[in-house]
Amino acid sequence: MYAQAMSAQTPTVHLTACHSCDALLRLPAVQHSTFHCPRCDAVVYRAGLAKRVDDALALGLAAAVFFLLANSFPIVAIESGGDRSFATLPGASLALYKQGMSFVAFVVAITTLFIPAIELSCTLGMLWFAKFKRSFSLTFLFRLRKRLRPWSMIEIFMLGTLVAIVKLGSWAHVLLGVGLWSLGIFMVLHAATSHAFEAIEFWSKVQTES
Amino acid sequence: MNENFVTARARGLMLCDVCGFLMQFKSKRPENIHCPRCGQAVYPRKPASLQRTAALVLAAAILYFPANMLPIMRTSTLTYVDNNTILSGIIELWSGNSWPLAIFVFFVSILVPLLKLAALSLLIISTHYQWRWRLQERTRLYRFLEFIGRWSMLDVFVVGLLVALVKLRGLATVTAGPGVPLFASVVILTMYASQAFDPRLMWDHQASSTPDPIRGS
Repeated sequence: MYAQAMSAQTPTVHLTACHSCDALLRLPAVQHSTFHCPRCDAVVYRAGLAKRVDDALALGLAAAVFFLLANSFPIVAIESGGDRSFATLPGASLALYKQGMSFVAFVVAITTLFIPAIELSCTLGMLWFAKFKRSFSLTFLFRLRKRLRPWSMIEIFMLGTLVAIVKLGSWAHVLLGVGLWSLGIFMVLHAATSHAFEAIEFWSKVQTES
Repeated sequence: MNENFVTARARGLMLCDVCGFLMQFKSKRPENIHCPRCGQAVYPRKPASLQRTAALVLAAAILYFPANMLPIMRTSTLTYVDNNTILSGIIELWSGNSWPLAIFVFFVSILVPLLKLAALSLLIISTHYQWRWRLQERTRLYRFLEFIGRWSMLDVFVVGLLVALVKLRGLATVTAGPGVPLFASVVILTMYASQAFDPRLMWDHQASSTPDPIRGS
């Protein structure tokens, strides 16, 4: 049912409510761009990039590979007076934990490691099910993913890395690692996967309600 | 804005905020209704939204001051020990000729949490007293808060990375200060606060008649 929604043409009229002001709205039958609420201007629907499950799945699997790379290689290294040290993504929260900052270590680990990993696994799981023509049987994955989303903070960590590099630049030689590039690529691929998934999700929504 | 809209609630309908399924609710107090498609508990409006938002804003406001005054980072080298607060970290960036970054960090670390507390208080008060003033702008402000709030976590990551990175034997070490857990708590509390707020409450006091998408306008 879910996979059929991909190929089937959308039905004529789709009724929805604005999540931001609760206005009852008609969604135009076929959407190719963004649809704003005429009352409060919130985005009610946004068209996605990929139109096929396979495309989204390919993006998602590539993102998973880069996420593993980003976690295994150093993000940055410094050199000063012949001494060298480096930091990895899990290393940041581990170092905080060792200094007795367990709460901060937990927050960093959750927002940069576990939630991005869980979010991507959920998306991949849903896409996998969609590919093998099963309906939304793993609804808890869907809910989990939506709830966790605001707490995934890879892009903020990336900018934090930039700030840290600038701060260190004046007194140590800073080397950028494979982990940093992988993290950047993961960020882009992960965003593309989520965006593609949203569009597919919309079709299934139309399908169920018609 | 001049047009009047029928709300979903007025039609006995509510939207699942997880999967976007539009469903009916029948009783006056629709408790324990779960979305038939994704299983999420759904309410026409978020329960006790204003009270919960106000409580979280208050908690965040209390923590905001120690979070900004206590050191977040201690840099120790052979010759000196330096305690950094969030503000002194920004000044350091500014004097180190990276002023665009200094402005950005000032914006997300100092201004955004303050702006968030002020704006959420305004939203709570204006909604509680049923003001009809600038509904669209207030909704836009709420959306901006939801978007920007996470970025305040920046300084927590900077400290985390520096602590892990700067371990040059005898030369220099960086230790996280007591300001970091407080600052992280402020960010988390304000994020929860903006999630607890229901922007639909602002619009509920607007009169509603036509057009009606069910009967046709």
